[in-house]
Amino acid sequence: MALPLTPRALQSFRHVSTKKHNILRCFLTHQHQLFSTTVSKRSTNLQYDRDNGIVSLIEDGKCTPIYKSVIGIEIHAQLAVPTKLFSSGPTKFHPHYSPTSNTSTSSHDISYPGTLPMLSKSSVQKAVISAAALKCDIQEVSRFERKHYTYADLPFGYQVTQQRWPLAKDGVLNCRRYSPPKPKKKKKKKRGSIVNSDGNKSDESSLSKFFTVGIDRIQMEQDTGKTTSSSIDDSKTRYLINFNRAGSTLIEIVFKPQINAAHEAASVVSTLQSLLKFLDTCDGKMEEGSLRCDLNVSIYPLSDKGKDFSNIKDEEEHNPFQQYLPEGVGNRVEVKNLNSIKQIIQSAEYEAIRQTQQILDGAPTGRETRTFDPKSGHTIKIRDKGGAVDYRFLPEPDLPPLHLDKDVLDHDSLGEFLKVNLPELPEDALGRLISQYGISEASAIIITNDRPAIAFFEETIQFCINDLENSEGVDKSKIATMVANWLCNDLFALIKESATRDLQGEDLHHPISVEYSNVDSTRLAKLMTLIVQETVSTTQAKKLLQVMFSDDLESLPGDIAEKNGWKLITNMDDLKQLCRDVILCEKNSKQFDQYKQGGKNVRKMSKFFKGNIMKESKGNAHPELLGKALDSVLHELAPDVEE
Amino acid sequence: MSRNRLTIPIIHKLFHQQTINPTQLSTYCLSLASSTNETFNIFSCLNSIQDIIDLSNESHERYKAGQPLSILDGIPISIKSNIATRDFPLSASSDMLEGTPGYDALLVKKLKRAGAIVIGQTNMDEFGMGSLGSNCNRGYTVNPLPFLHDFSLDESIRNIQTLKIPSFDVDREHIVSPGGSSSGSAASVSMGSSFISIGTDTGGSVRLPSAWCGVVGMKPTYGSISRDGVVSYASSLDTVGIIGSSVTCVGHALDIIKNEKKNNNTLDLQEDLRDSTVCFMGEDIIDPESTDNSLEGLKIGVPAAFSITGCSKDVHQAWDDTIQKLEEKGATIVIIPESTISSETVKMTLPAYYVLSCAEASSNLSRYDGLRYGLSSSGDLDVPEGMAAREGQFAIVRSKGFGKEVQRRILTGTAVLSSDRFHTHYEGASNVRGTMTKEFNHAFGQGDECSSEDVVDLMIIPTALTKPPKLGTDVQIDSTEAFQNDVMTVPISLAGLPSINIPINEGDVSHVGMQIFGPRLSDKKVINTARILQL
Repeated sequence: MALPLTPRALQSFRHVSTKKHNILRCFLTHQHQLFSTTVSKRSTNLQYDRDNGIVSLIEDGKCTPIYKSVIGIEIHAQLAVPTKLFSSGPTKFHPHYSPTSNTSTSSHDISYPGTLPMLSKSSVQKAVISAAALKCDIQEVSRFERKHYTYADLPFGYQVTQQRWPLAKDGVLNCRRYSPPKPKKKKKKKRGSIVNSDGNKSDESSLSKFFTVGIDRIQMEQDTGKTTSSSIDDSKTRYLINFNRAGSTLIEIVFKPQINAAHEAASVVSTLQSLLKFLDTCDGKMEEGSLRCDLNVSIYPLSDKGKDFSNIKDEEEHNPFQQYLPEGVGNRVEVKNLNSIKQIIQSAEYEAIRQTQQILDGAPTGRETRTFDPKSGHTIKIRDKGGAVDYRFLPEPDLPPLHLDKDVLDHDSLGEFLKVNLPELPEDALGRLISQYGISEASAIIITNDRPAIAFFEETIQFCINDLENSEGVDKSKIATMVANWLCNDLFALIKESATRDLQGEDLHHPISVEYSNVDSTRLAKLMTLIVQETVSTTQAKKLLQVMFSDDLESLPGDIAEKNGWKLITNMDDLKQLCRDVILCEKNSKQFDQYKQGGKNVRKMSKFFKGNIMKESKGNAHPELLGKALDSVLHELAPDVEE
Repeated sequence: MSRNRLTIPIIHKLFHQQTINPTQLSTYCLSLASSTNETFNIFSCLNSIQDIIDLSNESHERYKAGQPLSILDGIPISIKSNIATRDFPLSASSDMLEGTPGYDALLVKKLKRAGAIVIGQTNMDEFGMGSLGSNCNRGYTVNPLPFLHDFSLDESIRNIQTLKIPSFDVDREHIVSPGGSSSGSAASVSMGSSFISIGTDTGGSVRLPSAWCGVVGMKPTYGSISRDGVVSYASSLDTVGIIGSSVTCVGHALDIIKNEKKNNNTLDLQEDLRDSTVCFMGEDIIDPESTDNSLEGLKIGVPAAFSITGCSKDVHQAWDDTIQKLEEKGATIVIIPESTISSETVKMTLPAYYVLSCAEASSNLSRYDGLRYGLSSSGDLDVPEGMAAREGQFAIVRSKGFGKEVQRRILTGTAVLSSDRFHTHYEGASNVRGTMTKEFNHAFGQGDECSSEDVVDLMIIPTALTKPPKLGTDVQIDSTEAFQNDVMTVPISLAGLPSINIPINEGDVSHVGMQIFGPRLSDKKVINTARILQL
């Protein structure tokens, strides 16, 4: 239902700022002025260990651990569904989405009077799939509530959320310990190095390290619009609001404060990010705000020395996470809206050190909300929790309780729905690929990072085995490893190249996924078969794959090889004839004479002939067999030559 | 009925016989509405004469061809100003919504598809908040009942044929409240400028003005008409209601706008209805074949708990008379004892209603910040000291745009939802609502432990305790005292039950109405009983 907006309304909607960067910053500068006096300087004699969360005091060259950080994480993930949570308004996942400000909104998204919320079935389904993958206890009945606060980009004056009756409770996430990306080498990548889908090198030494973090709850809620500001002059700021995002579906995932270190926080977020991408429930793009992270950081004393400092706690209403917190823990500081893994690490470290310093200075931090300034790498106070907003929760009267029944799930039961819709999880697939096919963990990680690649991999192997069914004397045991290597190294490299072609560090044309491969599993299997059957050499196969990916997207590799005359010559007689032709060729008579002189010349001239024969065969000669054939022909033509 | 009001079945017949035609009738109604509006202040907007003539000519053609769209084809109707229509701006009689373009609410679409002709948009208490029709941004509406002419049916027809608009002699002495909040809707039907008016009833806003204006007003079961296009006041109570010149008129309109079940997937259905809180009545209300005119076998309860001391003598008398009439028609009267419906619960419903409705109102009205639609918040504003620019801007717009009563209720609602009052006030009120609903269900035999002997089919109580108060610029209204008018209607609203007001004759001008109500989704029985009672 498109509604005409008054010209005045449209005017105020007009979007002037076109700068593509974090709008939050605009408010920050303003708030920074208000609160800058309370921001403490980073101390030089405190050190933070990002791997274990320990803050140490460096004194007289001695390093004494005194405090340790405790971190709780809240994630807001925008679900990849084409319409809004409560309206048919298009999201960025809708084919007709228009990125122009305030054009992708339905009348309900801007709270036009007389419009009512209609719950999106696909949002519920994706939220349920996400919750199931996080091993949550999914609630058959959950409820919506209104959370009231006033902000220009909140069209209703409240956000519809699920505070007291969330969709899911008590989940877990198994995380692989974070390894910081290595600095990019200027040298060209060596062949055979393993490239994962993000282009970072996997660090094999940390692959086996896992830890688990609990999830308290997952709830569905509405996203807000976006505010941008520009200053008119020194005293005035103009705020412009874009409601395109308003009403999109978010799931809020609240983790229990069971981790201690900045790198663990980074692991949790990146693991969750790839899991949601794998499930296709969220695109995980932190830079676009599809995945937003808030950290709750506090510290607790480790040593007696630490306990000497009073870590005074503000009075707080019942903290649901008290049971997870160690004795003597200080006030919880919330750092809001972190939009990269790097910012998560930086802000956790900054907070741990700042809070320790505050205690050392005799002024422990209060309960407060802060934000991260990427320019300085500091967190900046936004508000005290003492002046917390009363959200005046109200059961949403326009929506009945959400029952996960057939109407919503399209299946008779939750179990049946999940059986059909929940894929094998990446960690399960990883273990299975390693044990079932004997491939390396590194390859298995790459394959399981891209959900369609799992099926692609297994199909390729199957096709290959079918093709080789009647061949005798081939080693089938190595097929899986071979397919894994070709898929992870060669094919992914080609996909990545096509995704980034002509773009200098800009967005990708498309995600790096086998979904965008021009070579499907059938054709890759045919190529593998050619290699196994020694119809083509590895070098030829690489050339073939390049052609199959970029030039001839239809033909089978065998036909392409034929057309180009790429066919390994393995017949001994053929090879010998080839040798004779080259050796006895008139223009090579000088070289043959030289060979016949024997001594050093034998090796030198053999090499010369081998190169020329290979050239003559257009690279088709089987290298090893050619060596044998040449020896035999030379011996035949000049039997008495000695080395 | 003492007044020979034209009813829809009669008009439908007259159209078929071509005694009068739709063009004559709608021209007459529009002229009546516009010529009296300065005095009575019933309409906030009227449709243009040309549009009305075009629409009614089309209807006339259909009748000539013997193919009217429905029984409502060519019938002039009006719509309360908190229901969106494409014809008028959406105002809810508030300055806050200034210049907000309208669109056709689902129920308006259905009425237009049935051939009804929307002649105008009626005044109301701002956002539905009020019981007297006096909290309107265009001033109060005058109750036309004391000033009506007692035309015979033939005289009425002649007036329409000759476009002879009667004049009204309004003396200030007799100006009384039409009741609210659907004040203009009830007044319009009472005067005869529309034959159906669609209103909304949150705590009695259709039934009270119907009683005081001497017309029929029905609040169906909560959720049985989609709220799509209705400006929200208190979502869990807001119900679209119908005001008409007879019970049958109301029944016909209800058949057209009630939610229809088309297939089995309830979610898809809600998608069509654009409302997630809908329910379905099933069968049609009006059975044209029915010749039923006896109430034999029907058990009608009289809940003793509603015999409240504030009830005026006239009203009590009318209650007794109606009970007697029901018995004459064959119904069995059962007094419902205090033990089933307690007066303590009934008394608590009024404060509970105000807690809940204010809480929801404060939430529903928080969207009005002057940014996206309605009253302008642009330009340089003098922001109150100590406020950030943004908050100040909102504060100015909301202070300017909302009337006093609306502001009072927003503040009340904000208070009862605050974390220190939520449990005592909001949850307390919700508990009262639950108890009242349970007691009604018990009386109707819908609970668990009830013996079939005590169970009643329907109940009857007065719609209002008193007759309408005087209105005028010199009359002071105490807003808390005004709440008292709702005591007979809010218990039924809290339980979401269907209830119909029927006017009771008491000499020429009665202003007294009785409510017949029943369990959820018993709308057909309620209407049928009211119809037989009025025969």
